[in-house]
Amino acid sequence: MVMQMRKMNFALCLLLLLFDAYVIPAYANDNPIVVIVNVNNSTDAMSAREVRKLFLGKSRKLPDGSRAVLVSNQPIQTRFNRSALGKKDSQVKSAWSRLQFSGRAKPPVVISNPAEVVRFVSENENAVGYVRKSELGSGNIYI
Amino acid sequence: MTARFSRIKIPILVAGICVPALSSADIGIDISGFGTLGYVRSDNPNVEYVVGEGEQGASDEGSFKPDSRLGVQLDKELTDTFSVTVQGLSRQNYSGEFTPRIEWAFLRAYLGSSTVFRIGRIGLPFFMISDFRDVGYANTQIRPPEDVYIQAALGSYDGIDITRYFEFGETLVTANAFVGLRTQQRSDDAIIKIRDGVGVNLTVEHGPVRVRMSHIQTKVGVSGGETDVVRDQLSGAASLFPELAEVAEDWNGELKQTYFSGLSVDLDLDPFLLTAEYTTRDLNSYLSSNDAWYVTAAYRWGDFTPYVTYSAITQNSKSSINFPSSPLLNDAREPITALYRAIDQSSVIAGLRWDFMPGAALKFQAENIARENTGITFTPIPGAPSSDSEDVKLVSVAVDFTF
Repeated sequence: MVMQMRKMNFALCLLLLLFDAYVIPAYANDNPIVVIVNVNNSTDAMSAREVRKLFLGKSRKLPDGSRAVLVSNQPIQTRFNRSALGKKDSQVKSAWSRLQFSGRAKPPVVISNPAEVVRFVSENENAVGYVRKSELGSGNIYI
Repeated sequence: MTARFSRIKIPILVAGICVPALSSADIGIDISGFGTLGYVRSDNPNVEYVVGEGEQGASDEGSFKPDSRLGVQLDKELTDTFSVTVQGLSRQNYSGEFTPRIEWAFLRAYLGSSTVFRIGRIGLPFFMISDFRDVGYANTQIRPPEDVYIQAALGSYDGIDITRYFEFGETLVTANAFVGLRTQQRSDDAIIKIRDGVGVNLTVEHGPVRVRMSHIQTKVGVSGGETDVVRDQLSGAASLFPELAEVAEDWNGELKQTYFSGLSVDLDLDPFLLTAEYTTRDLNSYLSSNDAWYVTAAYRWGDFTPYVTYSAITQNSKSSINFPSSPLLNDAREPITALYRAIDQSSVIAGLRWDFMPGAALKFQAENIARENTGITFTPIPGAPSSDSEDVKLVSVAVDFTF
């Protein structure tokens, strides 16, 4: 099990973005939200703006040109929406309902278990997700 | 009989709720949906306020029919490149029924991350919110301003389109072009035909500003039922009444070239929202040519969004007719004089949206509609005294939800 966890973490390339750092510095240092992508994806950096564009459905493109598959971490969704996207849940949902029901884009897959978010990203080459830093476990993580 | 029906409803409902869980796990189909339960009532007993192509409207008796609807969408990814979307919609149709219909059904192909082709039945992109005009939850108001949106009640075409996304620094550009046609039942015995439809639309987003431009041209015609009776009478009598030559031309049964253009600006200066849209419809036909526009301002205040809208439609085409009193034209007289009349109207709308839970909103709306003659969104109630050109007040309440 430990081996498995390590392998899984190794499969993730941790990107950037300590969103809470801008908002709640004290808390952020302890356990910020981090954006994660699959290690096989050549994306190795993403700006806060790029993350915002992806998770608001304004862009589908990862920096390396591939089409992003988004995954949302349900327990911290509200916090992510507020700190990373600067929007309320209802605004984000309304924006995605426009895209979804016009058949233009698929909203992020919502997963309620953080470990499953990590697993999803490690199994999907173009996946982008977010978790609390502590939820990544203690494997090899690149920041 | 009634008892039996109400008993079997429950298992069906339960089965309906279980389907998404089963299918998404087993065959990878995403099921989602949206709906509105809406009630609208006016202060006028003599006309019905109608929405879209719906047959029955609301008078001072109030009705759930104009605004209520339910949509279910199925999405299936076939491969990384191909996916299928089917949307079924139940809302009031031309005969007052809620018979579900396939609103959209298309195959989509991604070419890279920036180009999308679609083929099948696709939403007609006349307006800024054409693509989700039925999704109440996605919109601030109870319904898109009808003074403007009534100009194109037809929601989809059968054809092919291409969408390409560009990013220039912080500016996002979406360009779309389509070709298509459509034949749709418009009443029990009339159909509307759209042929040679082509259109382009361009959306530019930069920061809080989004600008959209669209231009569509098609050939349009209505045939069958009363339309044919009127056409036959007119063509039979045209030689006797030279003053009707122009009208007879409108009714010669050929599909008429139609142009539609729109420009809209959307400004999201959170918590302020400003939206303005201008459209112009130009038909060489007995259907009116109009300019229509609206401006909406809203303010997000926690879960509450109060809003105000002003909308108006102005008719540019022939608005009066000197119709001969010959009995040869008895059947044509009433429809013709009704069609060649000014339909100008304008609305002052105030409302409140309350996002009371995730994925659901409750809305209240009050409006005053000033109209010339009957206006464009009203039909007279048979036998009722005329209330032409009198203002009508409406109150509406709606719950919008998505799942």
